Amino acid sequence: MNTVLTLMLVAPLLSAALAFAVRRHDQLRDALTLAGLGTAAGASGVMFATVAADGPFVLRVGGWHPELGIVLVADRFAALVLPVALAIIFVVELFAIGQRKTAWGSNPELSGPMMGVLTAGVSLAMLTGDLFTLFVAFELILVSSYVLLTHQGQAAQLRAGMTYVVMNLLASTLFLFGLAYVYAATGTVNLALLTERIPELPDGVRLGIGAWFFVVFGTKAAVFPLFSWLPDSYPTAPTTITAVFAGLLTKIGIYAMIRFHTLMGMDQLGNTMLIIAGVTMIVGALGALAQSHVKRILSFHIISQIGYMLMGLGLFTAAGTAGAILFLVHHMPVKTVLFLVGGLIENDQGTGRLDRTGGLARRRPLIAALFAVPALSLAGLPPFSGFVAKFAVISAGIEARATPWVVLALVAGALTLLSMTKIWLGVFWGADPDRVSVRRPPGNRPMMLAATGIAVAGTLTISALAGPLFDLSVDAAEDLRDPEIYRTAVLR
Amino acid sequence: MLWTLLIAHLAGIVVAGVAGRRGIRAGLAAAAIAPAATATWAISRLVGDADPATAELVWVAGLDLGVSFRLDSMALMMTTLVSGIGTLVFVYAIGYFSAGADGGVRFPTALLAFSTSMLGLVWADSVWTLFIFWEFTSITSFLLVGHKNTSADVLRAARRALMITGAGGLVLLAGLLLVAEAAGTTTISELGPITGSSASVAAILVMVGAATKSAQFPFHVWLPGAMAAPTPVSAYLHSATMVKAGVLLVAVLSPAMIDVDAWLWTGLAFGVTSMLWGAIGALRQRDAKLILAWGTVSQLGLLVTVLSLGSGKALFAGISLLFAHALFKAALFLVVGEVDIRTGTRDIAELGGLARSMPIAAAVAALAGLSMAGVPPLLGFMAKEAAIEAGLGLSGPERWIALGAITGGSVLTVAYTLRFWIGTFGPGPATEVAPRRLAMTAPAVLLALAGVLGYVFAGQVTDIVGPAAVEANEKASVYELIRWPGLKTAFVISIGIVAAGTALGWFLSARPVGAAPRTVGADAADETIEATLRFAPDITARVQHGSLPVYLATMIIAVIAATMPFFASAEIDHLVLWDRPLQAGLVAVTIVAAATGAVVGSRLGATLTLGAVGIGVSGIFVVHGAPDLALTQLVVETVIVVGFVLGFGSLAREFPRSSESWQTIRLVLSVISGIGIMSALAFAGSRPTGTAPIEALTDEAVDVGGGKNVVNVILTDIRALDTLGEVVVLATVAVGILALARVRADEVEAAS
Repeated sequence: MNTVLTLMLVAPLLSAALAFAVRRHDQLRDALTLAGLGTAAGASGVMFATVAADGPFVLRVGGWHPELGIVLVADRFAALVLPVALAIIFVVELFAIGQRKTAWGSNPELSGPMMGVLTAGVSLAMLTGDLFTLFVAFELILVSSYVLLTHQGQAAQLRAGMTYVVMNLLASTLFLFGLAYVYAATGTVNLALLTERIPELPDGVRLGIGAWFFVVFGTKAAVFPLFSWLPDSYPTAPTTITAVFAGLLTKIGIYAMIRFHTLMGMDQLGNTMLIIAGVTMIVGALGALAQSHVKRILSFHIISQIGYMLMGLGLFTAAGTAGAILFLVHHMPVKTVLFLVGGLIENDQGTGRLDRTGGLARRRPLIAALFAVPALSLAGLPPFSGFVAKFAVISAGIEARATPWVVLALVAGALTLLSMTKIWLGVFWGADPDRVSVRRPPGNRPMMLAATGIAVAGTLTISALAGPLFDLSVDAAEDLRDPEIYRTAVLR
Repeated sequence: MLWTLLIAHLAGIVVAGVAGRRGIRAGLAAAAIAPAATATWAISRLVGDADPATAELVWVAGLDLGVSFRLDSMALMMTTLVSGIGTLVFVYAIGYFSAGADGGVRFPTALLAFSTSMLGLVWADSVWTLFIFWEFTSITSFLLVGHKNTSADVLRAARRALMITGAGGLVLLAGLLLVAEAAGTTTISELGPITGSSASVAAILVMVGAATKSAQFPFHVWLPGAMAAPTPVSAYLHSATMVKAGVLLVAVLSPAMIDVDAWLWTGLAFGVTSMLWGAIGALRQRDAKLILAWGTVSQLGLLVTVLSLGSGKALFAGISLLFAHALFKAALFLVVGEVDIRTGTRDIAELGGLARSMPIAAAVAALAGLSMAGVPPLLGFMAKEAAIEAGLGLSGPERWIALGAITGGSVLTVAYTLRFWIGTFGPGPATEVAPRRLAMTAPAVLLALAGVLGYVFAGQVTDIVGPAAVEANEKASVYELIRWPGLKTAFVISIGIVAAGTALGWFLSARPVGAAPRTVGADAADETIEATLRFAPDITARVQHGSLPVYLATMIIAVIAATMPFFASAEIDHLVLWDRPLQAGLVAVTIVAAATGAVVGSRLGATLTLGAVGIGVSGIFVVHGAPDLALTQLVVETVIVVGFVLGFGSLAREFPRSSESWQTIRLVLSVISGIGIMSALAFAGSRPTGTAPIEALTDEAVDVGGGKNVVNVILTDIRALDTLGEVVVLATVAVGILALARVRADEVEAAS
């Protein structure tokens, strides 16, 4: 198991370094990248199975006691979420390889290695039991994503990248301040020790630390009003990169929030979180409605959906936390798939603008079908995972008598449905655009379709397995809500 | 058996898709098989007397989600309607579409998918199963309404229908959650009366959800628009089955709602207004199909009115009406489709004299129309009699409301039915007609005859609808359909209704056909959607304006808010101003440098003051006994200053000027956040719950780490993982810079 956890960090980093070294040899580089990402994904699968069978596993890095050194913790939360994340990266990389050398593709010489660094960052962020290492993981994710965002050097990317990197760097700086507060107040940055020491702090300090990290993780998660970096920057990047960002980046923020704020028992911040969640859901959905480009619509939806997860967390009930976790597991692949389909649309139509597309359902029914599944899921319609996730959060809300937030969640649901309809009517129905691209679409279409198909199949699998996944989410939530479990695992 | 049927349907969808590639007729024929089998099976069960078949599949146990079917009497009756009419509609569609029509794959598959969803809905024994299939029917309906999706009108109609039923679905979700919570079960057959504070809210929410699906005023506006769909769809979804889903929901939930006043009154409000407004709408239309569509709104209003009354008699009458309506309304729609196909128009101003050229269609329309008008010897008559009886059996204000509405609505129904028949088939210049297609005629004839047979075999029909009604209210068991009641109050009322309606219909038919009324309601619904779409950019432009400084200011405001709690634990006794006066001096220098940097206008000046801040900080490190840290800091500061200066390149020497008020805002935010952040740090350590393990670190660094320099051991061993991460960060940044430089170099090269 030590090896398994290590592999999730080392394999992608190693493959990144090697792939960068041989970056001019297309096949070798791609093979190395896929090997690294695949190993990490495979290892995470093993981790899932082991943790499910044997319970949480802790790796003391370098053998140092948690009081001093760093621990990696594979608890049931990490073991549930991380495999989904790593599988997503792997599938997207397949798509990226199919799409390379097209105008919409990324530069494979850099994107492969950078994807490796990103993957290591994601693994580290989800596994670490140390607040400072979480900061390092955020740094890894930030720099690699910034390079992925801007490496083509287009003006729009650089402009959007500026907002992206400045806001996120400020958030990182705030993270450091937060570490200073935590260290000054408790003398440790180890999460397990913090679960003992933070609850004993004077109320003001405890809530101050909670609020501070709410701002830090909230910026990463793109909650209202800290989301501004997201909608401008995501649509400018190549599809595959946006797909990974959309699936993972903000989710790391919400993941960190679920872990930190639940473990530290920040229930008193619940109402604040719910207010922010409500506004985030609505503003994000309205933002999506305001757009007339597939990728921009989808980008704003990330924000709206973060609101649902935050709502589940903000309820601070077992059902709410479980709902938030299930939502996370559902949302990551669905969002990624939608961006991949967005990439297919662009690849086929030459654009993702709604006013320049139309009638695609008649010409490319397969793309329409690949879009319909995750879109219905995103809109929260049965029998897809989005329905279960939304259902879990909303029924938790009703159980907790959080009526205003339930109402807002339902309104946001209706707005989401409307914006998905907007894409459907604009792209798939309606008259053919004036200039139908008769030319053969560029790129390796079978490979792109296959990758998207795999991803759609993945979301369907998640829908089919929603029952066990919900049970696992409940387990993960239990582990988080009872810090004793986490503490025992780390400190024994 | 239920699973077998469901799987047969799913397989049928695939088969229809494959067959549809050879043309739409092949697809439709293939699609008809599964409903035909289901209908046959259901009818055989109707005759026999078997226990309810059940089937269950757990999906998400923790949330009680899953598929739970129970084929009770109500479900069996609905199955007969759904699959029976479904089979006829598939056959009819074979005649309706020309052989080379578009959509050979998607139309049959979508229609069969709808049929399947509808079966799931009527079989459901769990509120969540019902809800899941309810949503399926919304989606499949959307796909079918948008069949001819190249026209903007169709797209709007499809969107309107989806948004109204979709939003209604969300309201229903909330309502059902409350019902499940109040009743303590999600199993429909086990629902007992709910009470309590949330019961009224639940009742209203569920009723609103039902009203959107069953096209009740004011949500009815989607239904006339949905007539953009091919007529088989209109006949099947939007008159016979899907729009009955809301009505069915009212029936199956009535045991739970028996004690909830809000249920009755919400239902009456929807039902009565829809019955009257729908009938008036039907009288104003000139498109024969729209007359029927508005008539459906009215009839659904009647159903909701009667069923929400909740008494045994009302349930019996409501279920009988539902059964009768499905038969006669489907027949009428099929006739209109045939007229449309064979004459090329549905406008009653242009049509006329079809009784001679299309005698069978005229006869079908007459039989079905008479059933709708409630005239003997037809099924519709007996059902309406029962409804009036149910009204008469009430007491209190609802008696007069219900009776008045049923009577008024029925008069109007007779009138628009007559106007429809006269306008289409009555006297007038003979319209030219294309040859008859057997596939279109036969299903309509069967449905119309069913209305007659239903009258003849009133006892058998009672055996079908009676047990269904009993499931919703046990007291319904004593009622039966009566062929000839004799001169009782209800019958007198019926005679009056037919007489008044005929007179009104005759009078209106004699007048010239007016222009089609404007679609005020539908426009309002569209306008609401458009207004949302317009409102969205306004709001979005406010929050996503693109100004980075404002975004950062927003973040700073959030930061200030986050420092506030710390002040609640402010304890200043443990604070000391300085250990050594030198610290104060260094801090003063640092603050001055930072302040200068904030106001200085030139880029170089700002860079240099920033450097000075860094030097001040390294000074503080030195005072605290960390010379190595100070050295590192100095190097970093130097590199940064040099880097900035090199990077200025062609940039202007001065910063762009900003407005004075903005500068003030920034200044205020900076000062407040600075004080907040600093104070928070001071207060954070006021009552520490732990201390840094300094001794352990120094001991272990030497003993285990084998190094005398603790910092080095920390960096390279104890926290080596962090160091590795940061090294990768640096390498990544280098790669990124290299990539951008390469892009730039390529551009320069391309330019030259």
